Amino acid sequence: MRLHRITLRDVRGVTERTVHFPDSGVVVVEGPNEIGKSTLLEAFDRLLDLKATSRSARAQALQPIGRDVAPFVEAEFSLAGQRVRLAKQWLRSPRTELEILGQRPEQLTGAAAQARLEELTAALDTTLWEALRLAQSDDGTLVPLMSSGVLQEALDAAADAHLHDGDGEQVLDLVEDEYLRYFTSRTARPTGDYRAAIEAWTAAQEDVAEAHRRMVEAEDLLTRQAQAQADVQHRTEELAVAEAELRGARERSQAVAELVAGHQRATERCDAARSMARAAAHAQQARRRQVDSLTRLGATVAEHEQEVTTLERQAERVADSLREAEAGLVASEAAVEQAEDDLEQARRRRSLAEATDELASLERAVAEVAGRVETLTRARAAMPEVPVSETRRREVERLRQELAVLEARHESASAAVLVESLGAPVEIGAVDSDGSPAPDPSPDAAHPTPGRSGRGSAATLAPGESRQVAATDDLEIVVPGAARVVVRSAEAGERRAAVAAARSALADTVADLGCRDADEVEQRAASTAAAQRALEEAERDLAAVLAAHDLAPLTGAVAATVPAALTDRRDGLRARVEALAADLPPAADPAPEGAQVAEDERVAAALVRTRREARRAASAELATAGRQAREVTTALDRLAGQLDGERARAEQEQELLDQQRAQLPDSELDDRATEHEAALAEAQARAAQARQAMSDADVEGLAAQVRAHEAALARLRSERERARDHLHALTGQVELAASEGRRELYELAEAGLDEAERRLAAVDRRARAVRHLRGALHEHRDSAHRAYVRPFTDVLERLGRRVYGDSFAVTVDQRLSVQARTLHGTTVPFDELSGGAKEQLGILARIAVAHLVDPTQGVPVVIDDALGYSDPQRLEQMGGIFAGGAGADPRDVQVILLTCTPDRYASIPDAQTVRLEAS
Amino acid sequence: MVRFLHTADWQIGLTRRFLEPEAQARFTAARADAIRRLGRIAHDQGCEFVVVCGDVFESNHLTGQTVRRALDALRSVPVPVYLLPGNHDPLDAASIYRSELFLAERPEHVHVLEVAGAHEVSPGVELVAAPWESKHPGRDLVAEAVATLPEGVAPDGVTRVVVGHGAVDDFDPEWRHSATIRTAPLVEALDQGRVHHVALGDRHSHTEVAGRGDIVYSGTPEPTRETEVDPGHVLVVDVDPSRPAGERARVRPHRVSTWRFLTLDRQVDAPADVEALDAELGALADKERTITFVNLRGTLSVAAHARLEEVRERHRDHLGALVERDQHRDVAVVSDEEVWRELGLGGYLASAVDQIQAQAHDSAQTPRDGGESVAEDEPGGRSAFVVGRPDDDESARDALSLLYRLGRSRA
Repeated sequence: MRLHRITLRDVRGVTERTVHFPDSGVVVVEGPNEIGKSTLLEAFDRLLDLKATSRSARAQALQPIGRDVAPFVEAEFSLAGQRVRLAKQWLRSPRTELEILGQRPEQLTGAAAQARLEELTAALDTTLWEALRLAQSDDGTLVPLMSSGVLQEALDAAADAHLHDGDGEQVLDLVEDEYLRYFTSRTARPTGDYRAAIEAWTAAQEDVAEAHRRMVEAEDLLTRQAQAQADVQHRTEELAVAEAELRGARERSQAVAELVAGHQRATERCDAARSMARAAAHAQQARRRQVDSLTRLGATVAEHEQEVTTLERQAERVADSLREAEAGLVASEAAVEQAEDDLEQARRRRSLAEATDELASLERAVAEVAGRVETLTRARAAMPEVPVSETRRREVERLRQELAVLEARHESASAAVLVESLGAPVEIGAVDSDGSPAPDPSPDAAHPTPGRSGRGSAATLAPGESRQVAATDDLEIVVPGAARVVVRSAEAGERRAAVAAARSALADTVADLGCRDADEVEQRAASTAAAQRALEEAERDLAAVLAAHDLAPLTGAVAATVPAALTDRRDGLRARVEALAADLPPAADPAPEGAQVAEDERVAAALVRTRREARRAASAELATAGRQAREVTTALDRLAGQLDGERARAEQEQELLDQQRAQLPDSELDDRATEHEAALAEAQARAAQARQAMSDADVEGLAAQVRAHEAALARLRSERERARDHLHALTGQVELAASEGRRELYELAEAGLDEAERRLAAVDRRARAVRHLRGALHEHRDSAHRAYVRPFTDVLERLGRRVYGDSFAVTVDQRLSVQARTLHGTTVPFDELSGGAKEQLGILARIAVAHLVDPTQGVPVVIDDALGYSDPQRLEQMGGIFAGGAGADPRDVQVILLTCTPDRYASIPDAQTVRLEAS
Repeated sequence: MVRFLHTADWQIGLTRRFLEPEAQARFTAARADAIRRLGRIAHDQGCEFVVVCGDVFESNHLTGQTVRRALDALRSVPVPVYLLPGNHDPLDAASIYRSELFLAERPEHVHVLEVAGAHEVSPGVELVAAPWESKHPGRDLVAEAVATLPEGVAPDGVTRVVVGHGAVDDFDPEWRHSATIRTAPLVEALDQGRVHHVALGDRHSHTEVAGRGDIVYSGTPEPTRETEVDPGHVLVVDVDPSRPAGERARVRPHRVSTWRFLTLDRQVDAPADVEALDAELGALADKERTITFVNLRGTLSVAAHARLEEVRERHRDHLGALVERDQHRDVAVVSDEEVWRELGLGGYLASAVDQIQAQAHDSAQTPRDGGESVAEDEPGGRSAFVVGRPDDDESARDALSLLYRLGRSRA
């Protein structure tokens, strides 16, 4: 492909621009940044690959920002030998125009134009077109080029690989198609029919395995069934043998059974003989006992008769004794009665005597009491009318002493006035404070205090007489006609008042007692005390007398008389004495003395006791005699009854014995017992013999054998039954398995497997054939490819040496990627090269490819703002390369360099420059 | 004189692995049809009865369908049929003859000779049966059956036919089979007149034993394998005890088979040979009932080999079966530059072809062994098929054929 012209209108930042490219050689498109250099080529790409009708993001991206206009791109280029003009407008009024210029011009629009375009672009080696572009951002690495048919063709030619002799690629495609019928492309695993055949075959194998398993199982069952059958047969035979053995054992046992029966019979006979012998012996013994019994009975009867006689005599004696005892008892009872009567009379006499004594005593007591009562009454009468108790008397005494004390104290406290009549009478008297004569204040003036010189009361002193007067009162001393002296005492008033009070109190108390003065009080108190004592004494005496007769003391008014109780008692007693005297026969004697009476009574009582004792003895004797009589009678009766029974029994027994003896005399009985004893001994001997015979024959052993055989037989039968059951079960299983047709199913499964295997084998053959063929073809093609590497490397190194000198070399892999660069003997891996070096190598590789491919089939080399990293010297050298300078491949290569720094490519000779201005 | 139809080895339920399912179905049906055909022969020939000397069934383990179809076919036989249990269908616990199905659906005129010894099948006619009660009886059953007969010559008016199954010591002189039938006592009994004819089964080819016409294998009515010499007959037998020994029996075989086995051992070295083979196969009668074993040897060009493949595939569809066994295939392929030049193949294609061609010639590099000697009923017995074996001479030949075909299709 070759670009001739590109026109942009309303594409991104470009309003209107047309760029013309020379048909060959280098064109440098220069312009400042953002002027739209890259847009130029991008727009061309869209022109080829984006339908005008597209409203995709890529279409939208063509539109200038902020302007709702229709982007339009037109280009003129050569492709597949045709010169083409292509124009598209997107988004608004989309249109496509395609014009083929040349000898057979075509002009198409719309869908037809698009279809024609697609035909044309099919011839475009897009891989190469992409590969030969180097943008600013690339690091120079060449994208894998092996899928570029154009390049391969070029390399084939260069390598002389004869890859395309004939129509190799088409064959390879056919082989690949065929291969992909059987294998997956990536993992080379079976697929399609091949895989299905393998799966069917695998499934068939599993079917066969299962069918075989089931068949073998059926056969195994059959084998086991046959074994089980043989087992049953074997056991049946064993059973027959065991049955025969049992029969033999039973026969032997049967023979011995006779011995057993003989023994049994002998034993039975022995038992019978033993019974007989025992019976005979019993009969013999019974007879003997019978005789003995009779004999003993006779003896008893005789004995008892003797006893009866003795008893009868004894009874007579006892009857006599009884009668005597009865008489004794009667006599003693009469004596007792007499004595008791005597005693009674004695007692009555004693009672009378006692009562008489008591009456007398009581009479005396009444008299005593009456005397005492009299005394008491007199004592009461002797008591003063107003008695003065000791207490009162003492109170009066106390008051009199208190008065005396007060008067003494008053006197001592008063001034002592010594009045001496010197010749004239002098009157002395007491005056009151008011000067009037004071009354006699002292009630006890009658008995003035001894030692007291007297006081107040008027006295007249005879001449020469003197008197000391205590001025207890205001003392008035008058000498008649001569003088009156009043002695006044300051505190005498109070003391006088106290004396007066005491005197008054005494006087009141004495008055209360009805006495005239204290002395009378004294007297009366003395008489009161005497009367009181006499009274108390009388009361005490009375109480004592009463107490002597068990009577309560009398009090109060009652005490004035004799108590009724006492008199009643006396009266009662009098009545009793009279009664007692009436009952008694008139005493021969005058009333005996009390002591005699008592003695009489005591003697009578003693006689009574004695006689009673005698009576008790007689009574006891009678009881004894009675008891003896009864005893004897009872014994006699009993014995007589017994004797009667014994006599009757003896008669019976005798009668029975006589009868039996008549039937079987004693001698015969004895003979029979002896015979049976002998028979028993014989039977026992025979039984012992039979037992011995049986023992000798080992009956038990034989029976054990029979039992053992029976047990064995039972076991064998049981085992055979089990074996039969097992056999039946197996037979059932065998029949069931057989009914399923497992052999046939297995054969069919095998046939199925064969069929699957045949089908698989057929597919497998074809698959292997194509795998083999493909493998060989690829191997050879790859080895041819390896040969391409050489021409590419040659061209690349040739170009490189022009830039770097003769030491330049590269290592290229099969995918035509530069792996390492060698310079001056130093090899550096591509990845480790500097950015500039990588970029330069990238450009060199692209130029090399461009040089290799057919100019008509080739594409332009586009370098977009590259070599920014390269130093000026390298730039200059690179410029020579672009221009296809000396030694370069003569092929015509279109090189488009886009740059914003025009100087970068200034060194390229003959380069045409297109300057882009802002539009 | 008594006339009856002698047959054996029906092998009902037999499957052949080399048969496609469709062919197997026809093959199976043919065995049932053979019964109908022999029934008609029995009727047409006035046979009193049919006796089947063992291996009526291929196995005791057959599906109900197979057994029922056999019984259906037997129903069509217009004379009594006596079936002898053989080694394939012995009277063991799994025996078909004792199965519920057989007992319930057995036609009345079909009888199983279950008990060893004489069976009077019609007045004066006794079949002396020697049934197999297991697969491995371990003794000469025929001798035992004969031993049950009273000593001496058969009574007048009695025709005795021994019905047995198994190999005779004439064919198994080493008595590899424990149940091998001893010939000498049979000959003696025949000569003595104790028995008058011996009808045998087991051998699938119609065969007279010890050169005598009165000890005979009928063979199978439909062939079962390619090694059988003279299968496909039933025998109409006349026995006349009144005649001298050696002349009592008259045996006339009648062909009843509809299938056949064919083995073609052919040399193919030129396109003409391939064409000849094509013609030969094309000319075969009753192709759909012909099982053909093709054993080829030779060297062919790529083109001829491709043609051979095509021929083979075509006839496979026509024939009952076309069997090629690996161990019998030995066809080398050679290619010449000319072929490829004609196809316009050059460059690295040509060098690849050269390499493949070299591999195709080197047939010794991957020896393959056949598995035919291994018993077929062992699942491990078949030669283990390996999917996608590594490249070898075979894949090389096939690769060349493929390339040839692709090249031509392109052209």
